[in-house]
Amino acid sequence: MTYLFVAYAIVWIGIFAYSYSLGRQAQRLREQIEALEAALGSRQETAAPGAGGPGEA
Amino acid sequence: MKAYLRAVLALAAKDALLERKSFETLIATASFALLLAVVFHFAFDIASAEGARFFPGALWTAILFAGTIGMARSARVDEVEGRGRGAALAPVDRSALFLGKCLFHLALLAVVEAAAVPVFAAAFALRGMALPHLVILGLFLGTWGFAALGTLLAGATAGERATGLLLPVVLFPLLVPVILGGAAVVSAGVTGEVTAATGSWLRLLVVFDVLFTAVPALLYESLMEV
Amino acid sequence: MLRVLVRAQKAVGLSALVLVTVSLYMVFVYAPREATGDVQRIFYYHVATAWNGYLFIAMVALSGLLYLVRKDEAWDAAGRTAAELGVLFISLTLILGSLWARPIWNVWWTWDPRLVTTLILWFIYVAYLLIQAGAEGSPRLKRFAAVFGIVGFLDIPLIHYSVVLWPRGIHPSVLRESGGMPFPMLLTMIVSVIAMTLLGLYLWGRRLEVEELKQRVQRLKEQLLWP
Repeated sequence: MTYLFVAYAIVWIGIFAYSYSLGRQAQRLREQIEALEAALGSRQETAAPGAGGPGEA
Repeated sequence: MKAYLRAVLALAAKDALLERKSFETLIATASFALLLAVVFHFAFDIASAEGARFFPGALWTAILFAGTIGMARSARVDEVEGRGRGAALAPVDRSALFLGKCLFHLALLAVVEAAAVPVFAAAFALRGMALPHLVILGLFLGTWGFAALGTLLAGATAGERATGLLLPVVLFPLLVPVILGGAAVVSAGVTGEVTAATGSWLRLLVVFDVLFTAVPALLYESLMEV
Repeated sequence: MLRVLVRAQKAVGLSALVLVTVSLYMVFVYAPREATGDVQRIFYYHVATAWNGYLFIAMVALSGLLYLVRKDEAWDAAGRTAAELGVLFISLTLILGSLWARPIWNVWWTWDPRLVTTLILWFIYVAYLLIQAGAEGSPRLKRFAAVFGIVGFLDIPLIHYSVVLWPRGIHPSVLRESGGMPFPMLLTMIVSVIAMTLLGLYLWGRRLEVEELKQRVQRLKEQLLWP
C-alpha cells in the first residue's frame, strides 16, 4: 500500500514540478518581452526627432 | 554503380594513405585496446578456468572503447585539417563519402582486432577456439555495425567542444544490439556451443549492419550540408 | 500543425484535468482489487506513462525527419521539446516499475527485457537532449540531433529483440497475460492512458509556448540592437 501511494505521489510531483518550471519560464519570458517592448517603444520616440538614442538593453 | 564503388574505394584508400604517413591513429587505438587486456586481467582477477566466459565481453568492451576513441580522433583530424571539406568537393554522391569513411574505419578496426584477439586470448588463458571462423564472423558483423554508426556520429560530433565525451554517450546506447550480439556469437565460436539463438544473433547483426549503413548513407547529405 | 497545441492549451488542459480525475477515481475505487494486492494499481499509470514515453519518442523521430526535409526551425523545436517530455515520462515509467517490482518480485530492478529496453531508451534520449543542449545557434548540431532522433527510433526494435534474445533475460512477461484482464481493469487502463496522453499534450503545448516566447525575445533583442 505504501508503495502504491509513493508511486502516485512521485508521478504527480514529477508532473507538477515540470509544469511549474514551465510556468516560471513563460512568466520570466513574458516579463522580458514587456521590458524589451517598452525599451523599443521609448527608443522610437526619442529616435524620431533626430539622432538615435543609445540602446537600453 | 561500378563508378560509385570505385569512388567509395578511392575515398577509403585516400584515408588509408594519409594514415600510412604516421600510423598515429592506428597505433593509439591498438595500444589502448591492448592495454585494456592488462587492465581487465587485473581488475577482474580472472582465474584461468573462467577465461572463456569473460573473453568475449572483455574483447568487445576493449574494441568499443578503443574504436570510439580512434574514430573520434580520425574525425577530429579530418575536421581540423579541413579534409572533410576537401573530400566534399569530389564529384560523387554524398553517401559515397560516408561509405568510404566507414570502410576506412572498418579496416582500421580490423587491424586493431587482429592484434587484440591473440593478446586477449593469452591474457584470458584461452585454450584454443572451437570454431575460429564463427569468431571471425561475429567480430566482422559486429565491427561493421559499430564502424557504420561510429562513423556517422563521430563525423557529426567532431566540430564540437565536448567531442570526446559526447561521442560515447550518444553512441553506446545505440550499440546495444552489436554489443550483445557480437559477444554472443564470439562466445559461441569460442566454446563451440552453437544453438538456434546463434543463428538469430547472426541475423540480428546483419539486419543492424544493413539498416545502419543504408540509413546514415541516406541522411549523410542533410547532415553535412553547410 | 503544432500551433494547435499551443492555441488549444486551455481546452486540452481542462479535458485532461477532467479525465485525470475520472481515471484516479477508477484506479483507486472502480478497478477491482487484484490477487497481488492493491499495489497492482500502480499498473494503470505505469502503462499510461510508458505509452506517453513512446509517443513522444516517436514524435522526436517524426519531427527530426520533417526538420531535415523542410528545414523549418519549428520542427527542431518540436523535436527538442518532445524529447524533454519523452525523458520525463520514461523516467516516471522506470520509477513506477521499480516501485511495483519491489513488493511483487522483491527486487528494485530486474534485467527483464522490457525494463532493459526502457532503460536504454532513457539513455538514448538523455543523449539526444545533451546534443540539443549545445545546439543553440548551430544548424549542424540541430541536424545531427534530428538524425540521431531518427536513428535512435529505428534502433528500438533491434535493441528490444537483442535483450529478449539474451539468455539471462528470461522473466515472466506481465503484460502478455493481460489477454484475460477483466473488463473493469481494461477500461481503467484505457481511461488512464487517454488521460495521461491529454496531460502530455497539454504539457507539450505549454512547452512549445515557452519556445515561441523565447523566439519573440530573440527577435525583440535583435530589433533593439540593429534597428
